[in-house]
Amino acid sequence: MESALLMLEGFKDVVTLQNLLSVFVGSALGISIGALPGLNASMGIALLLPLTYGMSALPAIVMLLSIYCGAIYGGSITAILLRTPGTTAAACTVFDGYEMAQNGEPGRALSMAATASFIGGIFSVIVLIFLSPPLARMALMFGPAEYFALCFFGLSIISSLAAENMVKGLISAVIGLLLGTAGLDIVTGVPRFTFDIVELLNGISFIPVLIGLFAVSQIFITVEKEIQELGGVKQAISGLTISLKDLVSVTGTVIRSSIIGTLVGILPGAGATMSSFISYNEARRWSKTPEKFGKGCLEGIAAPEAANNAATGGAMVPLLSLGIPGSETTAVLVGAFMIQGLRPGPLLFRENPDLVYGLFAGMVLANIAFFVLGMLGARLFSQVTKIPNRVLVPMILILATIGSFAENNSLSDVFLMFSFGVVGYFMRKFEFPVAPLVLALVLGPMAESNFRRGLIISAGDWTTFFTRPISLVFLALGFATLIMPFIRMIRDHRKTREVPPSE
Amino acid sequence: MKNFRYINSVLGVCLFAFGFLIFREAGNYVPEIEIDGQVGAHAFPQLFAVALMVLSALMALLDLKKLTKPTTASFAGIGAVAVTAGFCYAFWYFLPEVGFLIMAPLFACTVTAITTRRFRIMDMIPVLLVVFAVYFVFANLLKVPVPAGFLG
Repeated sequence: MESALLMLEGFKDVVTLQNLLSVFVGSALGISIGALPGLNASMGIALLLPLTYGMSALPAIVMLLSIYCGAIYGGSITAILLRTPGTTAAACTVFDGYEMAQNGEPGRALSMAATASFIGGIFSVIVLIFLSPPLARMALMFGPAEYFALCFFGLSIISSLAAENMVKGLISAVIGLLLGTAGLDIVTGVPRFTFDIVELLNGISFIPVLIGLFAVSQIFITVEKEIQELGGVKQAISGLTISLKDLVSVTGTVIRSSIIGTLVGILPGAGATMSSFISYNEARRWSKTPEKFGKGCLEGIAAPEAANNAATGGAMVPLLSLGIPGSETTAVLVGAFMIQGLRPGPLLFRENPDLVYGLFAGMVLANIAFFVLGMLGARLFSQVTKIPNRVLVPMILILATIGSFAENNSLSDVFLMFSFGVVGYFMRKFEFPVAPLVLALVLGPMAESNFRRGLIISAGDWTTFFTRPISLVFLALGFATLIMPFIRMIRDHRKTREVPPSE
Repeated sequence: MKNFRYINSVLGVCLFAFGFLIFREAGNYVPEIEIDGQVGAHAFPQLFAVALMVLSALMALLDLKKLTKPTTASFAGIGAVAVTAGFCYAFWYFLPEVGFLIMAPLFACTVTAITTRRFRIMDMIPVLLVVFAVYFVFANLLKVPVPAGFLG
């Protein structure tokens, strides 16, 4: 009750012309930054931080939070329209979003992404307001063993991502895991697969690999088609927005993904990307039509988008409750708090409750703002699919180049991107799924480092992974997810044997 | 270009050899200081390399015994892809020397010409507009230090 009253006060504080302007400008900038490949929320906040120097605390931080929420949503726009995820958190949205755009429904896909992101975002803010202290304490119970188990659970999704061609899917995943081991080993400091190349000491950057595998490989496929079909015919745009029926059909998926996104977002170091992959897999597992995933289904967009935006509120839980930044973006936000003379943590609730609840209200408004902008813009953004390939192909290549370069200001990343474009092209030609490689590259290094740290802490006792309850639960879920496609395959095989052949 | 029936077997053998090389290379990653309960830096790469060898052998065997569908990919347009990829690498190679402002429009126009198989000024105008817009947003608004080349 007290929280609700404070929340009302927060809304009173935040609904001023300056704050509303901050929210909308922040959301618009966030969406633009998120949509540009190579620029993510943390870079956006860092780049635009100087804009807030002259502002007072509430509008300044509300504006940065709006950039954060907007950028996470914005990543889906280019993922859907150009097969180029603007942020790593939108990698999963590519699978179904791009297919829907190619089937002539870019508006429907974009509207679904905006709606799911909005619901996920709002859900996580509600959790942040009412449950942050106990959840933050729960996050502290996560040690290396639990993180390893969570990563294992995330990696187990590979078996369902690779369901159509299990062997090739697993090979793709193993290559992703191997790529993830390149660079300085964080436990022992031994350089692995660096071959005396300084640029490889930091490991293989994820953004260039992602852009290469998805966007550049698609460019090569498009160039090939253009040459064969001399211009090709673009699919006419039909679905411009989602219907109420569409929304009802994904309600369960959105709620489940919002819960997953919020919980995973709370865990320091896990974040939006992991939550989107886990949610995608859960959506597929619970779906009545899992075979439609990857071919352009709404659930495949709703799940990762609800989860990655729910992770924004989740990431704020340890920051505001304990003063611990759990992600790169929240670490940059700590800087913004400090510039305003504030220190996030339990004392902030005691000393500046008005400001804290003002921030919560600001986050609600930020979610509303990107939703409004996203829905209004869906029709306009959809027109991108009408752009002829002769313009689109060079445009994406230039955007991909500068996006890969921007992350580390390194031309090696541009080389890496083009190389993975070639790899992605051949993978698609030889029917190797790309998704398991991407997932393994994200989660593999986290799984390895936490596994090894867990073993060091337990002095080599392997049972540590099975004796800690949270770890045990995730491992059990992971094994269940791993074997599920095999059980389904055996069941289907038996069914087909039982059906007598028709005359 | 027609596809070879046993392409998956060939790929399997290549990946097996790659896995073997990785396995041997990973064997060198032994830390100087041993910590109690530590799994060495070589363990995971070797584990993954073994997995790669097993899976690629399985893929080759399944293909040889015709238990899997043959890959039906067409490589009819691979020439255009090879040329585009070649220009991509050339773009990357000359970018630091020549600079983004000159290389990017040249590269974009070349790719447009490859895609349309003709050189028409009207096709190039929107492409050039997009390139300069991207440059303006990244270099001027977002202050990304794009390579300036000899323009300094």
